[in-house]
Amino acid sequence: MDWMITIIGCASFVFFLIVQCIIFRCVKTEGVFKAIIKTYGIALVLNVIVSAIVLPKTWSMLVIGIILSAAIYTLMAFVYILCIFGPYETSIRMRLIREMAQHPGMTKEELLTRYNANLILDVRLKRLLMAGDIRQEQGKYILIKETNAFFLIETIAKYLGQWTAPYAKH
Amino acid sequence: MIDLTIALSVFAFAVGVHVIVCKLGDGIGLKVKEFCLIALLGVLLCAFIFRILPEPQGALRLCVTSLILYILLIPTYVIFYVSTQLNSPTKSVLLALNAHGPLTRAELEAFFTNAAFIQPRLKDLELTQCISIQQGRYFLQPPGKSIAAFLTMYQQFLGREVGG
Repeated sequence: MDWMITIIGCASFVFFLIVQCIIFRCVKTEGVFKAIIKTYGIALVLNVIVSAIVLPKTWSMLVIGIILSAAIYTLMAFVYILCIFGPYETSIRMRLIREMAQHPGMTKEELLTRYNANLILDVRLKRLLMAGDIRQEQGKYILIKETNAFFLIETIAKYLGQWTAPYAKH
Repeated sequence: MIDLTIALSVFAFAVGVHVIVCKLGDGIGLKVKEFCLIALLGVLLCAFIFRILPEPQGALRLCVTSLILYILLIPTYVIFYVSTQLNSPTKSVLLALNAHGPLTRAELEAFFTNAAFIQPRLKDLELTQCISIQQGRYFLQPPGKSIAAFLTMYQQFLGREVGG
């Protein structure tokens, strides 16, 4: 059962990658967040179904097996999204590197005409509108959700900062 | 199940040690390398405990699952910890709207300057030797070239436009 939980978790992640590879070819950058959630959900359902078929039929073992294989799959997907897909899709540094690879020897002015803060703002506003975090009314952007992942991270960052005091002596 | 309890306890201990190292250290940086080292020592500790632990009859042993979960928790914690300290543009939009209420596009532009979002990243890339500046022109260095090659390959895999 031990190996089986790990194998199901890893297989679900491979399935997630395959589905992502197929779906994301036709997803626009604004719809990426919703597409990730859907892809994650599809692979999670498969994970639960396969676990229910393959793992022992004792209720307690089945529940433990499903939770653990889902946990392995979730952590793999989380690490992949935040370490590989996220930087590819949203990282400013990665985009700068891409621009420099395509046009070696650019000056800063040339670079800033190709990629700049205005473009960054455009893309973020589109993503936030599509994700339903903000709405546009009479030319103004309004926050819809009082609580979301970013505010949660900000709160945790504040506490982590108090615990660990990062950059205290910078 | 004892394996899972041990793995999670050792991981919690590693996080605790990281917090203490940060508190007692010089206060410079996030001490991510130190955490990785502590956490990897934890992997060895878990593996050792699992090896010497007697195998009770009928009890559920989850050595492999526990070790995999422990290993996956290391990057998860690091990503989460580092991301809380990053100046994300999306976070900036949300925080600006939360602090100042409804804003027009022009008002939001005040928070989005090249000086705030592009210059520090260019400096970082230069410091990490991904890029170099020669006579006011930017060139990729070997680490930057490797990243660019990976991004191109990944773009082919996903079939998507360039991100950013």
